[in-house]
Amino acid sequence: MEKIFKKIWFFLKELSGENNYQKYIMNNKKCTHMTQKEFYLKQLNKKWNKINRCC
Amino acid sequence: MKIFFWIILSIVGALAFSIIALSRNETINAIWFIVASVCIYLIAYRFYAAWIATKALVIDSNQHTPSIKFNDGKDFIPTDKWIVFGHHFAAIAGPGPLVGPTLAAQFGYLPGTIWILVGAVLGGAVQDMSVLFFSVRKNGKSLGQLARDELGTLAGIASQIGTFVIMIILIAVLGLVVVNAMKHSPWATSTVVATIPIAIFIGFYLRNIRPGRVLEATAIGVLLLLLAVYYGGEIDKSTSLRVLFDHDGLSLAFGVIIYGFCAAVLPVWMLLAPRDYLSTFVKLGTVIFLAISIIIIRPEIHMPAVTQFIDGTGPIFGGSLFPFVFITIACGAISGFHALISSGTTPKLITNEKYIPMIGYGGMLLESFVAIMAIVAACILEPGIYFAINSPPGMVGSSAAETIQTINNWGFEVTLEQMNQLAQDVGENSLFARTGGAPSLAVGMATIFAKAFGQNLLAMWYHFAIMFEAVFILTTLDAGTRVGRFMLQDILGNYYKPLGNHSSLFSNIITSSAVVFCWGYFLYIGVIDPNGGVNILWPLFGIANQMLAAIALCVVTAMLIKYRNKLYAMVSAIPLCWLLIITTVAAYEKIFSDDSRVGFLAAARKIQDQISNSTSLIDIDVMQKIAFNLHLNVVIISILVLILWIVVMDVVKLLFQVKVYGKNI
Repeated sequence: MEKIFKKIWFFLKELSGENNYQKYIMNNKKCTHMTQKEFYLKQLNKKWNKINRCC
Repeated sequence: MKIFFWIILSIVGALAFSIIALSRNETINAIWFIVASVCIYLIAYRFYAAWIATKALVIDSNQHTPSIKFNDGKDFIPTDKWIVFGHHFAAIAGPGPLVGPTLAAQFGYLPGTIWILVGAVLGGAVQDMSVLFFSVRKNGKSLGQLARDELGTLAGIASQIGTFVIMIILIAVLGLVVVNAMKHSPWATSTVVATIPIAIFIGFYLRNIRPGRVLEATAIGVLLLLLAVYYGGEIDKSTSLRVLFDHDGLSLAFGVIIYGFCAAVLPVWMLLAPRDYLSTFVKLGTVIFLAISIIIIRPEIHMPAVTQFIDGTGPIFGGSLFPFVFITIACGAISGFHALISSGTTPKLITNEKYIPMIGYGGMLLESFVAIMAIVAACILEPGIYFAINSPPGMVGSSAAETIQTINNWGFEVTLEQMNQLAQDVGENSLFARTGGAPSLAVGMATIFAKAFGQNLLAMWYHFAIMFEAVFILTTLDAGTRVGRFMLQDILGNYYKPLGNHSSLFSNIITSSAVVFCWGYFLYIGVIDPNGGVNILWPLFGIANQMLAAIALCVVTAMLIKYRNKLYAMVSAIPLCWLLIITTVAAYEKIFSDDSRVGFLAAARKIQDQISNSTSLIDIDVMQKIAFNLHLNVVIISILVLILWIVVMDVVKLLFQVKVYGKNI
C-alpha cells in the first residue's frame, strides 16, 4: 500500500513539475545554476508561450 | 485464455451497446453506458490501435525519439510514459467534451453516444496517434510545419488561420457558457470571482514564499476554492452582499472581457499558471469522482433514445441530426485542436515510439470517456427539466408559464412547482433559460454527487460543479488569449518589428487588446442574442474545430501515401472523408438554409424584416448588430471551407503522382 502511495506521490510531483528543479541541479552540478525561484519563473514563461491547453 | 477473455469482453460490450441502442420508451441504467464504452475502448485499443501502429505507421521501438536525440533539458526532455500521458491528457481535456455532449442531448442520448464512441475510436484517436507519430518521426515538428513541408505553404498557412479562428470562437463561446452560468446567480458569481484572488494568492505563494512547491500550493488553493463555494452560499443569503454579485449577462460579459485582457497582459506566474495548477487537479479529481459516483449509484437515464428534435426544430440549437450532432460534439469524438498538442510538447517528451499508441490513442479514448460521462449527467435529468434549463426565451417564451406550456406541448412533462423546487434545492432563484450547457450539466452532476454522498448538499454540489466548470473554462480563456497574442505578435512583427517583441509592454497591450476585441465581440453578440448565442457560436466553433481536424488528417493521409502505401492511408482517409462531408454540409446549411434558426442569411433576412416593422430604437440597434454578425459568420465559414478544400486538393494531387518517396522517415 505504502508503495502505491509513494508512486502516486511521485507521479503527482512529476506531473506538477515539482521535481524539475532537482533534476536541473543534478544535470548542472559543475556550473553556476539558477535559484529555485528563477528556475520556476523561467519554466513558466517557456510553458505558456505556446498552445498547451485545448478545448 | 487470452482469446477467451477478448471474446467474453466483446459479448459483454455488444450486449451493453444493444441495451443502449435498442431500448425505447423505457428508462435504462447509466451503468450500461460505462460498460459498453469501456469494452469498446479496450477492444479498439488492443486490436485497431495495435494494427495501425504495426501495419500502417510501422512503429519501431529501436528508433530514437527526439527527446533522446536532442535531450537538452529544456524543450526535449526524456520523460516517463505515464507522466507524458498525464501531461498529454491534461492538455487535451478541456471543457469541450463536457459542453458539447450536454448540448447534443437535445437529440436524445443515442446519437451523441454513438458518435462519441465511433468518432473517437475510428477518427479522433487515430488522428491524435498518427499526428504524434509523424511529429516524433519529424523531430517534434508542429502541425503547421508538417503541413507546410508535406503539402505546401498554403496548407501551412491554412492550419495557422484555422488555429487562430478556432481560438477566437472557442474563447467567445466558453466565455458565453460562463456568463450564462453566472447570470443573476450571486452564489455562482461570487464563487467564480473568488477564484481570481485565490489564484493570485497561489501565484505569490509559489513565487515568493515557497518557490516551485506546486503540490502544497495547489492543496491550499483547492481548500480555498471549497471555502469559496461554501461562503458563496452565505453571500447569497446576505441581502447586502448578494446585490454586489447579482448581474445581468451584459455586465458579466464585460467583466469577463476585462478579466481576459488582464490575464493576457499580467505575468504568467501571477494568474495564469496558478489557475492552471488548480484547474488541472480539480478537473482530474472531479472527473474521477464523477466516474466513481456513476458506478456507485447507477442512475437511470430519463432522456429518450431519440427525440423529435432530430428534424432540426430543437430549442437549444437549430439544425437536423445530420450533420449537426457531428459538429456539436467535436471534442470527445474528434477534435482538430488535439493535433496541436500531439505535435507540440508531447513528441518532445516521449522516450520510445512504442508508447505512442498508449499516449496518443489511449489519451483520446479517456477524453471520449469524459464525454460519455457528460452525456450521462445531462440525460439523467427529466427531459422537461433539461429543456427548461437549456431553452432560450426566444424559443420557449420569456415567462416561466409560457416555457412550461411550450415544453409540455412538446410532450415532455415539467411543472412550475418542479422547476421552482429544483431551483430552491440548488440555491438559485430560477433555472429557466440558463443556456450554454453548464448549468444543466451542473444540475446533472450535482444530482449524481448528492445521491452518492449526501442528498442534503445538493446546492453545495451544484455550485461546486459550476466552480469546477468555470475554473478550467477560465484557464482556457486565459491561455487562449495569451497564445492568440503571441500568434498575432508573430504575424504583425513581419510588418512592424516592435509589435513582434513578446516582452514589449507596448506590443503586449496592442496585441492583447486586438485578440480580446475579437473574441469579446463574438461574446457580446452571443449575450445580446435573444436565441441565447450558443445557437450561433457553438456550431461555428464545431465547424472550425472539425476543419482543423480535417487538415490534420490531410497531413496524415499525405504522409501515409508518401512514406507507407495508399491502402494503409485509408485509416486516416476514411475519417477525413467523413469530416469533409459533415463540415461542408454543415457550412452549406449554416449559410444557405431557409430556416432562420439554421441559416445565417435567412436569419439576417428575418432580422431585416423585423427592423422594417420595429418601432423601438433599442431593438433596432441590437438587431442591426446581430444582422451584421450573421453576415460576418457567413464570410468566416466560407473562408474556412475554401481553405479546407484547397488543402484537400493537395492530397488528391498526391494520389496521382508517380514520384517515389523513401519509405524511411
